[in-house]
Amino acid sequence: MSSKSEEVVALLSQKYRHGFVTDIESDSLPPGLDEGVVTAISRKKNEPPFLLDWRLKAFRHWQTMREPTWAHVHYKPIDYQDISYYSAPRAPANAPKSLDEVDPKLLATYAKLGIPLHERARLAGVAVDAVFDSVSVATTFKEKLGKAGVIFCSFSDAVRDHPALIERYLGSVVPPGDNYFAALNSAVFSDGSFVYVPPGVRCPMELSTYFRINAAKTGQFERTLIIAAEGATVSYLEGCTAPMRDENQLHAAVVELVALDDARIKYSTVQNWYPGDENGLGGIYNFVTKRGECRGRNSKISWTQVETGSAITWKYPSCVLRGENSIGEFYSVAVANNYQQADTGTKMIHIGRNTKSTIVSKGISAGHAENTYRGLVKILPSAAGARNFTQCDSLLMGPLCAAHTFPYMEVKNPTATVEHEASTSKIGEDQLFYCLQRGISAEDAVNMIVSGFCKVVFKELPMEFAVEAQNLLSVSLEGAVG
Amino acid sequence: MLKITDLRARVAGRDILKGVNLEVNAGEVHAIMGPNGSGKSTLAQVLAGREDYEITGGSVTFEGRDLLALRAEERARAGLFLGFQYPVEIPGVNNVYLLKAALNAKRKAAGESEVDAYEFLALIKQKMKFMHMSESFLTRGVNEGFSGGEKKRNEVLQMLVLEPKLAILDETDSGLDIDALKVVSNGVNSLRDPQRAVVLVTHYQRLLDYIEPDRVHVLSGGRILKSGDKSLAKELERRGYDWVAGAEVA
Amino acid sequence: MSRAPQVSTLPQSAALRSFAAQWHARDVDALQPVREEAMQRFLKLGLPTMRDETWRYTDLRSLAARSFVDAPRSIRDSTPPDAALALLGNSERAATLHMVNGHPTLPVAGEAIDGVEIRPLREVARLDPGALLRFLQPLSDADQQRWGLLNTALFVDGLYLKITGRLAAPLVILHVASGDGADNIAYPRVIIEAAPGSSATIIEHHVAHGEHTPLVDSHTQLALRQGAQLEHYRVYATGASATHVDSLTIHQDRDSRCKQFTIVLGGGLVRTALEAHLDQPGASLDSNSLLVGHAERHVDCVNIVTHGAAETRSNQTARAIAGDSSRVIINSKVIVNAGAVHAHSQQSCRGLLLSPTAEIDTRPQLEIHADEVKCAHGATTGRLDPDMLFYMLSRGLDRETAQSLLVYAFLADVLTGMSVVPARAAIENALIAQLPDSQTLRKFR
Ligand SMILES: Nc1ncnc2c1ncn2[C@@H]1O[C@H](COP(=O)(O)OP(=O)(O)OP(=O)(O)O)[C@@H](O)[C@H]1O
Ligand SMILES: [Mg+2]
Repeated sequence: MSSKSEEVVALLSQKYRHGFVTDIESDSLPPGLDEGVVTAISRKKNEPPFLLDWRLKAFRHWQTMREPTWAHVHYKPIDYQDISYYSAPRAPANAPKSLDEVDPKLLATYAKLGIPLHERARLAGVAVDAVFDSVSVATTFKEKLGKAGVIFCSFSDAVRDHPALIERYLGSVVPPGDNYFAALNSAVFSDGSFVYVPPGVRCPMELSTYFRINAAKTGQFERTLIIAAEGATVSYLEGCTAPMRDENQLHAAVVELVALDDARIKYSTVQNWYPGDENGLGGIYNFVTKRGECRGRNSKISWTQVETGSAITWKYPSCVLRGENSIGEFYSVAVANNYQQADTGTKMIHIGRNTKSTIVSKGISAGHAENTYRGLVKILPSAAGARNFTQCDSLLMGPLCAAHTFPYMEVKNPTATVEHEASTSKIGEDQLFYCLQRGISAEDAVNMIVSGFCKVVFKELPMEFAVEAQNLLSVSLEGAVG
Repeated sequence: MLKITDLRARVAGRDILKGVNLEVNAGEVHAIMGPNGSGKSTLAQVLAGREDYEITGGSVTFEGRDLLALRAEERARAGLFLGFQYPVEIPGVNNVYLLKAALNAKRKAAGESEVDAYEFLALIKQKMKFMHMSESFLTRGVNEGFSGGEKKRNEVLQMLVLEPKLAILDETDSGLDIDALKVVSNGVNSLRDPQRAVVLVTHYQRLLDYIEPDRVHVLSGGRILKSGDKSLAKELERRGYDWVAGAEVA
Repeated sequence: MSRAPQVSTLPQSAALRSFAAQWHARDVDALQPVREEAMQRFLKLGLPTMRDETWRYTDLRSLAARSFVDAPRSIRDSTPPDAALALLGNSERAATLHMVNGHPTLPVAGEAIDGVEIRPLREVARLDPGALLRFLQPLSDADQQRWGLLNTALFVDGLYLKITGRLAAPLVILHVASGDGADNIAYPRVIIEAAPGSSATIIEHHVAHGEHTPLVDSHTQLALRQGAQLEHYRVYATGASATHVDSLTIHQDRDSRCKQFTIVLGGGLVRTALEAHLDQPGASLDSNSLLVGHAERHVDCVNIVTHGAAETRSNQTARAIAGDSSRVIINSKVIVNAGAVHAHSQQSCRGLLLSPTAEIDTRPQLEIHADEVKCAHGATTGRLDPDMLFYMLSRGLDRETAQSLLVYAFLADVLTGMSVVPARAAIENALIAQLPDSQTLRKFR
């Protein structure tokens, strides 16, 4: 390692900023999982019978499944009986009806997180649904959205108020038995967000959900369902944080997107779950299933993710391109530092004619971290004229980290074109030197080079969040090698 | 020789040609000028028979035949040559093979025998000399690693070998240095005769100093907005395309 | 009699039981301890399934149901393999060594050539088992080595070549697979050691003879000592009913250079694995694969290169063409171990689909554990470039010719790298015969 690199190393020592615990009374189920727990969750939420059935089926299926081992991640076996599957902040009576009724301590937590529940906040104009441990606590801007006909509420409210939509779309993109973690989520999910944008409506503001795991020994299993009807457009952002704890916590979410004819969904994630400390102690296991289906013709689903947190990330936001001319996009920055492990990427399944997909993945590894891109591009015989372009770059910072690229390209139609390019290299010493020579500090130089590397992805984020993502990136890489 | 009537074409769902009319007689040289993106190359490619351009209306006859009914290779054999604005590189396919195959395809279509290998090589070498091209280009892949100017010279070389009746040269002058411009112009002029016609797509009056056109047309927004003799090119150089567009509105 | 391997579970499939039976029936030799361990591991791991990473696209279940017996040691009707199969004329090669179902046709002594020592493996096992054991170990459980384990347990004979000088002409190993009508299996084994500073070109050519073709589980090892240079070809030209599982392992010492060509022109199911280890600084490898899917053929090509030392270089080029109802898989992987600084690797995988019922699956992978590296890959799958096609059509070429030319051009990257000109010509010929419009193509070479 060069002396320049060492200098950069020395610059690192900022701690996880979101690692405080909120002291709030919560209503939790004891750790453990059986049909009784699944039923109890459903009861607590006053769910209709179809949903309880659905959960129980998922649970029974889950019991027959094995935890996947193919990802390039290593962790101690998870004891699924040692997790509490439900934890809600204890409210005086029922759930809060408005922001004023929300526990002030909770609001203070969000303030600390910098999440703008109030309109004065930096992100004014963004409607926020906040999920605290397992329960959605507040949804802002309900009214304005309501006028446009947009439904944006917690998943529980949607079950209560729009059961027909839930019954029709829940599990239609990610079936309950899709994979081990999706099955688990289907059995025990406690809350999440629901969005429905009616035909022809362009959602008047960015929608946003913040997830936070607070209670110890809890897992978070939220479920998000977004439906953009014919000609509708919506942009949605999720952010995630968790307190610092020594034990690992499980987050197994499911996100389903449905885009009908000419609809557009843009889904952005800034994931900053607690990554564990410099020695790899603690941190969130982020095992998430995200999938969108371009069900209608000319529809488009675009995933953008900035993944800086979690001890382990296992996540492949995917697009099923069923509608003719539909478009799938995946833009990702994944940063892994210290002992973080990330195995992330996407799947683009081309079914319809002239479907198009673009994948841009930027992986950054530092410390002892392992960062894997895993992506599948599948062109079915029906997908005449389909096209995919994939660009996949990895940046290595330090001699002990690792970066892997595992693309799968399966092409069954001779009129399709699939292109994949990838590169792996170290952060350029000469670029670094150039900056230093111009009087820029090593830290700033590294940040500049890294954000240049990620730029194509950041520019896909809604403006307000691009800045936040950039900051997050530099914080995550503190302590990394230049 | 070539008669285009109300030709309309669309690409990737966009209408590009919106009713082009043009008549080119044997022995004539026509120049087509016009702003970037106005559809000049589209017109050239449509005439050459590119499939991904959808013809939405109009007709084209070439020596009395319905040109649009012919496939690209049939048009070529019938004597239509397109010099590409951006000649594609085809690594792995030898430049001289391609030329020979093209010449033989044309001869076969005309009921002639295949060219003798020795004669062919002699012919090629003579033409290359004329084009100031090194013989090393023969054994390279088609346009592979050629500089911009070399590609254009190679296009003209192919034209000289194939001796088309109608040559459409799409910006064959772009990217050429002064000497090369002369060489290319000589090449084109050497082909001029009462039996043949040439359509030059160009942005520069300069070329027209070397190859004197009979007619000059301005293509803009998918239509020919103005036609005239060679003085039109000079006027355009002075006044710009806005002048033509303005004249249209007025 | 050999001792039964201590296997905890009884082999489940008919194939495994038959391999166990072969094990029991064989003669014990000085390699016994290693072979026994290999057999145990194989039986424990079983036949690879589609759950194994490198077998994801190849289904061997139909093999599992069969019971295999040894292929004959010689060709019964003693007709020599068709001379037309030869890739090179007599004057163009140093020698041709024949192997029938893995058994060298002796005496090879008559083939003595300057600069190379040629011995049957059986003899080496008897006279110098220690030397051979060095090559058989360590055993690996990796799934791409599964059939190699079985070969190690059960090969009866084979070839050991030690290149000591600089060979001017290529050496050909003609592998003839020929069955007697039963469910035969053959275990050809070749070990090639290139001494420091030596250089040679070796062509392994796999052909079939007669009506019946055994299942072939072949394994070749190349060891390049310091500064050695080796150009190695493996060419598969068996019939449509042949199943062939081949694994090639390469170890390279300091500053050695290896150029490898894997060419699949025949066979029904052909699996070619290459595992290369660049063990010492300065080692350099060019691996080239040319995979032609024709009729119902299934080609599964696995290519794993490990950079185990600093300053190592690898270049992987794969070209796949799939026509008819064939399927071609390119699995190409580069691993850079921790500490292998300044490793340089380049992968290029391109596939050309010529038919709506064909399939190409590509996995260009990178696994990087060091930071001072430059690794890149590019992969494409698609049809012939429409711009190139149009260019040629606009010059008057007919569609067939233009397409053939482009197909041929697509393969040129690999073909032009071959330094053995007559072999290249022969391979081109065989290749063109399988492409659409082969008549036109011939004219253009
Ligand atoms: N394959 C295509 N897909 C989408 N748009 C296209 C395609 N081909 C052409 N166009 C569009 O059609 C219009 C006309 O293009 P064309 O190439 O004919 O212009 P031009 O007049 O030759 O311009 P220039 O002077 O720059 O060469 C442009 O707006 C171009 O972007
Ligand atoms: Mg143009």
